[in-house]
Amino acid sequence: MNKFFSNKKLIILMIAVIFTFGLIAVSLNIRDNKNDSPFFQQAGNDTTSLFGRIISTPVNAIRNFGNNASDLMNTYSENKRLKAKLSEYEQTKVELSTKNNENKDLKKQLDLYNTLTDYSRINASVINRSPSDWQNYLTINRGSLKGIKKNMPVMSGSGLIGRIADVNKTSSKVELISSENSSSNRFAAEVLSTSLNVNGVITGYNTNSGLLEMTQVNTVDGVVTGQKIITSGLGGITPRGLYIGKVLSVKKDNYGLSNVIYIKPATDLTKFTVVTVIDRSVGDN
Amino acid sequence: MKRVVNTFKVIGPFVMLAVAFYLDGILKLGLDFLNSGNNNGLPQIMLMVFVMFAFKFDMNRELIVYSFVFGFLYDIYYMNIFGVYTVILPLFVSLLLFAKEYFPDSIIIETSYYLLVLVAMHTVVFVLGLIFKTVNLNFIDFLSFTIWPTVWFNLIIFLLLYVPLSWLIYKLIDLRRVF
Repeated sequence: MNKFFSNKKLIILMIAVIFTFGLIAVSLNIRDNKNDSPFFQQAGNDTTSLFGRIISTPVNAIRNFGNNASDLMNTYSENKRLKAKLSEYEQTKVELSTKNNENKDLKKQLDLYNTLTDYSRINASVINRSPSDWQNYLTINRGSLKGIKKNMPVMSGSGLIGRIADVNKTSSKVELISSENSSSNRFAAEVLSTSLNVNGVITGYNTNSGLLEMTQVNTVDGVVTGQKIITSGLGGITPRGLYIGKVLSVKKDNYGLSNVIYIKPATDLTKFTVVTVIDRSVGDN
Repeated sequence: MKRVVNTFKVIGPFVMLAVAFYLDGILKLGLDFLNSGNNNGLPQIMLMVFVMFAFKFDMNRELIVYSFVFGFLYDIYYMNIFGVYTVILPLFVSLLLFAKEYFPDSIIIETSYYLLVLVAMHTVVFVLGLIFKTVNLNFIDFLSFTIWPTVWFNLIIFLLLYVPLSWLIYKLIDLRRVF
């Protein structure tokens, strides 16, 4: 017992603990306050993600093959179901394109170049997901060379999945909305409705229930379950109109003073292959 | 007498650890049952390779250096913060190297040590997260959402991969003897 707790080992342990705390505090400070991560972190991330891409491409190919094989089993019944829906979608597509053209003409007449709803898309594929107990990150294969900046919103499939947390030259890290205690799920949001004007801010995610919480709502009159929540564009970097999720319930908060809207996120946070990074056209400065 | 650095002694373990490092991220992305619902199962194949090297080889000093290097890479690539795995992984690897002297090498001993180090390491990382307020879970949720899927997934993978991996590692030893 004496040999194990010798002075040398205790000193090493203490130095290690102090080192850990110091490094973590410095690194958290840099991450939260600066837009660019330190040079060696960028270089390390770029090099490591290069090999990561080489290894993950065959693995993704195998996974796609597996998904395709299982899809093949259900093809007949799915085909019948989809054919029935197809004719509806053709009509919706024609309506949408007519309205888009009308919108463009009206904007031109008013001399409006870009509004809150305009944005451009950058497609990226996911290299890996972080096996970490703190926060959930995805690594994608686009970086600052393709125009990615910190805090841009990221969508996948049907809805919002998170924000860009860290940018390197050829890769970036996406922080998912399911990370608690971080700014990745802070979005200014509103209820999609022609008659209501309900604005609020998404302020958190509850891991237990899997629901996003929207607080600081101006009013909850007329909000019913099933209504869609979209980003309102009033936050700064996020454009308007990105689909977040559907209303599940409206409750009062813990103190009974203000209302909280619980939102079920639109996307399934388990399967990711390709994501889209949104770049808002209207600048902030 | 000049000391010749044996290339297989350095490159072989490094390549194996690097492949295991990338596999951790790819498996977490690709396996859906680790992420479904509220689960947060974490593949820890790099730790598996460290445990097997610790028991089969006598390379204490090299292992600690490797654990610093790969802990640092793990930090900046997967956690986006340095200081966590950079210090905790070498600490637990040196604890493992100290404690392995007491038992002979067998699959049951290696499995138990692996599970112990796994649970201890993740608990320490979680407690650090609580201190720095980067996680908000309470401890029971952490046990059921993170530790439980991590332990059973890694246990099954360890038992499945033990024989092929030790065959591969012993091939490394034979090559070393030739050189």
